[in-house]
Amino acid sequence: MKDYFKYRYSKDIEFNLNEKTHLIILGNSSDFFIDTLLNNNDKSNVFIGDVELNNESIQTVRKRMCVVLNKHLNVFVGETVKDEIAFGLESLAMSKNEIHELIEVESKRFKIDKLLEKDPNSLGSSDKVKMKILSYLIINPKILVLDNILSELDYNDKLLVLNILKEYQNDGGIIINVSNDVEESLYADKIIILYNNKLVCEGKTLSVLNEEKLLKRLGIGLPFIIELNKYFMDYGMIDKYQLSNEKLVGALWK
Amino acid sequence: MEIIFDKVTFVINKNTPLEKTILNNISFNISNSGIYSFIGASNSGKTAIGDLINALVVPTKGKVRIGNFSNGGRKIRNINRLRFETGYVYKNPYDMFFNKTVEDELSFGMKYFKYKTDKMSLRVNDALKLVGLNESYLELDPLSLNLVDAKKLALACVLIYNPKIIILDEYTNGLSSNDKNDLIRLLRILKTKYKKTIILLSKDTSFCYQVTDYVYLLSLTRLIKEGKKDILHDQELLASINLEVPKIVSFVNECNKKGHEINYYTNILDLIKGVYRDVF
Repeated sequence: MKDYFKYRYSKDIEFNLNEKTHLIILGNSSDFFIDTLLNNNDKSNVFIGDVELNNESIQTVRKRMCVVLNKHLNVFVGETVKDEIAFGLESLAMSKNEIHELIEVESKRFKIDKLLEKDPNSLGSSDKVKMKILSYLIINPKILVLDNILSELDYNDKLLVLNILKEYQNDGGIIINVSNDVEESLYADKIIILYNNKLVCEGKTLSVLNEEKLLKRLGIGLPFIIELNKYFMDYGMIDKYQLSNEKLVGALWK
Repeated sequence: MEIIFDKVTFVINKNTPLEKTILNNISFNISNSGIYSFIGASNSGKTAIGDLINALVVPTKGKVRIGNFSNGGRKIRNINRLRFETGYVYKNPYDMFFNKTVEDELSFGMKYFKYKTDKMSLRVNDALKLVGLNESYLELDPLSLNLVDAKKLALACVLIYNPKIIILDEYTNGLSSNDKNDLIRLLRILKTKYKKTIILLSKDTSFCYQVTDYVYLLSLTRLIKEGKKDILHDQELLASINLEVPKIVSFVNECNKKGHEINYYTNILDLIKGVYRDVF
């Protein structure tokens, strides 16, 4: 279906998203954006499929769109990790055997199968984030919103989670990653910059990262490898973008 | 002020089924002012080191000395003085807040420790300016701030009573690049002008590589290696303990593998000059 997710905020912000997109939102109004997704706001219109977000449709919207919040990282509903993951499935009225099998399979993908019987409060921060993302992803929503949460992960876990998100995206999901860390933008296909509650810039990853002066003025900065490429291009040492260390070194010393 | 860890072991929930070792036989010695970073992945016991220095917990074996105080199982006399000299910024900044407005939150530390109470409003404004916030925040509720502003406020709450030791626990997670650059400038001022001892507990190796004087590497409750920041050049060691190699180091390593000789720079502009000289 075309334009599954539509977002409008008075006249300032307006964008649509297709299926199979990974969007990253940069800039200083991230908490304002999350707030309009969670609660009904007079000025904003959010369409998910054929449903508009308001007080009556909130049940359907929660089923189709999940928001992983940074503020709720230490708030738990279950006594063990398994209860915590099963909570969403139980409220969808699945049978106990199905839940058990599903959790067995999915927890192995996330590498937390040895922690299932533990107390969530005793986990390290990286495992806690993986558990939170799995507990939302397991009910298979159409849209997954991440609020500034990938920066808490260890390096290997970050690569693992980004791979799993890639698979989820290819199966037809939409990922909206609200973040302050510009390095994560290299994994996305689309960038939107919100500044002081206004839409400043929108486009494909490399075309937005090309706007060096704008990004530096807004305090967002550039990813390290792009910044390196920019300087070498200014000195005329290379003539097009090389997005890995090996290729860049190969292009510099021909 | 010096910090000495003497063969410290720390176990939680001892003699129960939930027993878990957090730190295992750790010894180190910090005597001069400067920036020291403890780098490790999660579950390596970084937060426990901060808690032990601030005497929030007691070690199971061994002893921790902070200046004239010793945290080793006995009751510490005059513990307020110890808390006054070691300022601690928690991992979750919302844990620190319990007042209704930002102004009350900032002035609480000065009232509690009775430190220069006649210059209260002046110091409140100065502390806010130091971390990059302005006066419009004074009337807000601290719990309604977003994550980045909450972290900055937590740092201001500590700086206001001028402690000798400052501990930052996972402070750089979720900050934008401008905020990180401002933080680097602030830490350098605190180190050189005011002679503070700053302890960073972090897994962000790219940030620590730019500011730190001395590095301790932790992995799974043990202290693996310590030294100047050139121990972060070892790619295999960092990969084996689940840490990212600093971005600038991984580029220089790639160059040197191909047979070019580039020095290890900390600043990107110096790196560009070095590469330019080698190519032409």
